[in-house]
Amino acid sequence: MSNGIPVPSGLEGHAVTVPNASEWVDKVLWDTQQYAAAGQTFLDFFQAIPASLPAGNLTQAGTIGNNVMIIRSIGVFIRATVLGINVGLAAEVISKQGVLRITIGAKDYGVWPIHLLPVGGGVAGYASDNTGLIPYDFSNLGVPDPRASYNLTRPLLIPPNLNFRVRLEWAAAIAVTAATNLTVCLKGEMGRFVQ
Amino acid sequence: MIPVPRNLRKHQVTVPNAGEWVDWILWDTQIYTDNTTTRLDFFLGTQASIVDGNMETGGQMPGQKMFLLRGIGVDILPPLNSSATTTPLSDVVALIHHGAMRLNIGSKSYSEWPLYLLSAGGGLYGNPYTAAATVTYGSNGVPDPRACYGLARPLLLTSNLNFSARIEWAAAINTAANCRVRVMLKGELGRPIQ
Repeated sequence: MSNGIPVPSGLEGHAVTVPNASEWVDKVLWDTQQYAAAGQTFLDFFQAIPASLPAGNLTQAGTIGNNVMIIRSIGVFIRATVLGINVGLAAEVISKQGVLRITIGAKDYGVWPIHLLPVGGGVAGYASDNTGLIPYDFSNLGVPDPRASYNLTRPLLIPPNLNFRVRLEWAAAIAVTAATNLTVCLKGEMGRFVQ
Repeated sequence: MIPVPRNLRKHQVTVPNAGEWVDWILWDTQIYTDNTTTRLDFFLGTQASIVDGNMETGGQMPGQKMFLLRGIGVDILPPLNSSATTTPLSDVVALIHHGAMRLNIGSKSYSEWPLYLLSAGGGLYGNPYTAAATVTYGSNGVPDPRACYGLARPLLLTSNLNFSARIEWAAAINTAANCRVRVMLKGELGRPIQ
């Protein structure tokens, strides 16, 4: 029997998964969308397959396919589209005037102000400039430390093939100096069939 | 297992049926070539210098050794044996912000992470200054051993099982110079007692 469909006994030896066996692995699901310089009122995440691994790792739009994911932590990463250009101010505007909402199935499972959701990573650095100019502009949402993550008091379990979505919302479109990339990270564990 | 004749057992170089576990970090370093590299593979070979890596066998733990992987870190380092003592902050940000790493064990993927989540757990902390030039530096995450990405589920790499890590960037990145990218697997090594 596979997903309710009987498998003829002669074909069971060709199964590509180990029958009745599953495993759980550390998992971060992430997706990236771009906040336009002119502003956005909302951005939806995890609704399409990303073009590259650095942009995201969802393999099936809007669901986690036949797997199970337990979300223990949520974070937002903000980075410039043009490196070193005014991302600090954009991050301040975007994070302190917006909220993140997670929807699983047709239900709302929580809303948080974005600035309360540090991703728990990023670069720690220093710059001094003998010319008196600021040589490089970058910032992280929160301290770049895995411990600086927002952990859910009640983890959320996403079952197989159930739609889910994360939306960032702003009351109005707020212009920023340059378009800015926003990445939502859902951290936890994934359960999958053993192969 | 090849049977050892009884009269030869006294010549064994390991204590029979005895093992030990010690704190261990496996690391490997590869060069990011300015404006060229879009992916780098780690742990597939041995390094000429211990500074760049400590794999004994390319792509796997050698016979009778196992590694329990508990945490992963990635950092960007200045060129080896160079007078450039720090990697420019702009290069660290560019490579860390735009890369992702996948860990493969056997023929399966055992998850993937954005590089900015894989804090190195160490690095420079201070206030360097020179009146003659701009000084910048950066590390992946706060330079603190507690600031490490710990796996929610540790992974046991058994002996002679292939594994590797691959870092991908969506496009080649313009850096000030070629950089060294280091991946560190943190955990414990199991080995026979000698």
